[in-house]
Amino acid sequence: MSSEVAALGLANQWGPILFGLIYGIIIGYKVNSEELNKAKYPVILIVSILIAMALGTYPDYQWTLFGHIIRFSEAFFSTVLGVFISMIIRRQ
Amino acid sequence: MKTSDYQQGRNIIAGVSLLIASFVILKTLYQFSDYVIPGMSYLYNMYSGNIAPNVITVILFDFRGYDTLGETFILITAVITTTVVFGWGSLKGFKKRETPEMTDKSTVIQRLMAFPLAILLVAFGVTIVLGGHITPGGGFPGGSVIATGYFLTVVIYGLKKTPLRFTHRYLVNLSTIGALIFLLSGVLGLVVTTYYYGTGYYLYNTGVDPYDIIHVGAFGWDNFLDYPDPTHPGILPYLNIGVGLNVLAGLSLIAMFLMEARKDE
Repeated sequence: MSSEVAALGLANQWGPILFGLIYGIIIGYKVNSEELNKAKYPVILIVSILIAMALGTYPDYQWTLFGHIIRFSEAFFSTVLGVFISMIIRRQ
Repeated sequence: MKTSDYQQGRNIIAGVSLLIASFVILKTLYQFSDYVIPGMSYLYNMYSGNIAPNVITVILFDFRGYDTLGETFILITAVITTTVVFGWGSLKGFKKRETPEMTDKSTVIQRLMAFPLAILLVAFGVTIVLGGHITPGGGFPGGSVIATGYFLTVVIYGLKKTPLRFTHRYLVNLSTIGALIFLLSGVLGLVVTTYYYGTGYYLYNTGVDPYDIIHVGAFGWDNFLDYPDPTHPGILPYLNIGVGLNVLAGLSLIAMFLMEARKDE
């Protein structure tokens, strides 16, 4: 998969990160952060990193760093980040 | 400005818009054969494989874009029907009814796990939406997965205590914005093809021309619309994003109305 993805040129793309953040912020705006125990924040972040690593390059985008391919679903993780950013902004 | 003046102004704008739309539609129907260039269709059939990233998206959005548009509005119709049947009066700010007793029966494990799981479901749904043009997925499945996250929290915590505090107005706005993204992407195709070919093609996939064959990308249109992706899918990811918003809002609204409905109704 990785060589195909590299051949297609689907590496180092900002689109999924950008729109994942936007989607996350839109949905996270209506999340009531008081319901969420603070201890759950790092747990959700760690779990989301693990899931993003398990998803791999899905949906066929990947980042290369110093010539190494990072198998990480950045759309997934950026959405979780977007939800948290929106919750923090709303709490301020 | 009084409310009645505001409504009067809105009615006048709506009336003028209706007149213009009616005139354009009647004029187009009257001279329909003059407006269609058969060569355009051949050209598009020839090069569509190079424009969209794969055959599925060529068929789903390029050849059957109207079908997807229709499905989107079927969903809106379903939401309106559910609103009329189960959520009568809810949009006008009537007092919310109590949620069914089933929400009081959720266990500690369910209450502990439901919200984190909902966030992960939302993220997975967004991942499906954003990969719709290059993988199996898209707006409908992705939006459904996101709405599933909302169902989960509503069923476990109940409507009053759910951490995902969607309101009627917020969901209606999201649904409308999603439908508008789809409609306006189609209008862009209409404008660009009218400029180049003298005839407009609604939902034409503008902003894409990787081989510079049909010269649609002049004046920076392709740079403006280009999803940052070397497959140059054009408007396809934006259509997916619009459909995703529409579906997540529509299904969440249906869930909300069904939860608010009384058992005896």
